[in-house]
Amino acid sequence: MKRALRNAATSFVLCWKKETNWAGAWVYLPFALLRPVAGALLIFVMVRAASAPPDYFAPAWLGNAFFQLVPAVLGGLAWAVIEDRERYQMFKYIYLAPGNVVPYLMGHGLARAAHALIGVAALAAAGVALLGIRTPEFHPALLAVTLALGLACLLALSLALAGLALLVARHGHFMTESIGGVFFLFSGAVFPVDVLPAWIRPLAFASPVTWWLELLRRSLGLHFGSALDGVSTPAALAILAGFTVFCAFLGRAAWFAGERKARWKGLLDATTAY
Amino acid sequence: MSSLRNNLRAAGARAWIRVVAANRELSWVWFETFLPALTTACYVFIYRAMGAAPEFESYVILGGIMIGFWLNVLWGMAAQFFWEKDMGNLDIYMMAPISRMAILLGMALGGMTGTAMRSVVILLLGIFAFRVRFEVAGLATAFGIFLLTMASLYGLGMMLSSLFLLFGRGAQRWAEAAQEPIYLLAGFYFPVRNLGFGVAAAASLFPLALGIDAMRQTALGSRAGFLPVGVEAAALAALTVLFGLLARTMLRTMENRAKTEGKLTLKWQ
Repeated sequence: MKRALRNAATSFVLCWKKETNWAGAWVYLPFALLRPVAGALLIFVMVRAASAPPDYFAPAWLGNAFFQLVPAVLGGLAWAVIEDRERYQMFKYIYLAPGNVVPYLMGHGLARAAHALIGVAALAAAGVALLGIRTPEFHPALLAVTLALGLACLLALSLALAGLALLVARHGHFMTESIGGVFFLFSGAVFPVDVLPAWIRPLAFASPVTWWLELLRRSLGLHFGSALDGVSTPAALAILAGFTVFCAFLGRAAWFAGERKARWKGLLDATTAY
Repeated sequence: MSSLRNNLRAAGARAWIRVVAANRELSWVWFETFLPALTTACYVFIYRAMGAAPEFESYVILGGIMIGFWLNVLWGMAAQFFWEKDMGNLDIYMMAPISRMAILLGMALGGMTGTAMRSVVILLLGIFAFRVRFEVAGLATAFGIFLLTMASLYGLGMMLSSLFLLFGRGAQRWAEAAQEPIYLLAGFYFPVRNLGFGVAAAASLFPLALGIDAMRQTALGSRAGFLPVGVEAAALAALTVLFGLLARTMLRTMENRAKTEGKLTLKWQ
């Protein structure tokens, strides 16, 4: 356990350096903020173009801000596989080194989460300071527990995707982006689940991200649609915790299945060009 | 003449690699075709949540169709030079007696299959799931504008690829930084005039901003256009020529600079 934690910490530092040291801080920081800020401004301009009702904006803005963590963490482990295997061609050496690959991948996922948190914090701060968003309530304990549970759940799902990434070519990068997009649709990040057609809503309820975002909004006293109104906060927390446990089993099973298949097919050091 | 034939053969060969690779592993069909259509649907639901007029949903569908072409230019052409450098293929391109533009053209044409498929799926989603209605009378003009937009966009892609000759590990970040900011500036999901005249005018240097705006006016009958269609078509024609010329010059300049600075074969830095 101690060794696994040390591996994860080393991997965190390595990934953080890879993410940040390609440029000086004055170049890196604007780059880290460019995507989340532009994505949020996109929603802002859409709100103005369509003259959206006033109660739409705050939960949508903050939902979009928190959602930044989803594609970053979800794709973090898979991207580590693709980058180390295809680009740096180091993945086979990680297998040769003592220790397990999973803590190494988890360290990468956490570093990408930390990277994405910069965007989350910037968008939340800009919403409050520049756009006048006010949160009626603030429950820090609920916010912290929800963030931790959501992060654990996303890391577990990301491990499943990493198992899949072992089996696909380097366009697996698009796989993680696309799956992030699916969660964007089925999680009510920027619109209430009520807007989805009734036959699609069960998919939204089956997404842990839906419950995660709902709890994050509740921790700030925000309300977005009525589809989840009937579920109390403790019940929503229990549902998210249940999803986290389920995703932990799923992630582990999918990773080991993908890894076993990749070994048999000789894909652990495969590179693709097209 | 033989030079032209060689270049066309090189473009065809480079395109063929993409076609073969696409058929070798079909997982991309799912991840690059069907799932992005769901992201487009998401923006339709955002407008529904806002209670926006139905024409906004049509704007999203058209923008979603065009996003694939931008991603093909960005990742399949411009950033591809960086990947080729990391894989060691760039050296071979540089030694071959062919133009770099022929290689880039091949990449663009080879990637077009997947992009066209993605666009068709989004179009079908728009027509059948979201009931988008097109102005039949304007479709021929819209198609002409689409071709002009593609010509100038791929010229821009060739220009951008020259920059990627110089990039190190930051290349990935540069390419990522050209996604959401471009979605915003090109007005993929809203009429570009909503950005205000100054920003919209500056964004018009990017061919997709003008192309999408003109196609919305002709194919969807939008009255929220930024400039008259004729002006936008003329500007696109001018951009096509400008980017074509600039691409040629920039590729040569950046190649020389990369050679001088020793960055042409530098890997993993």
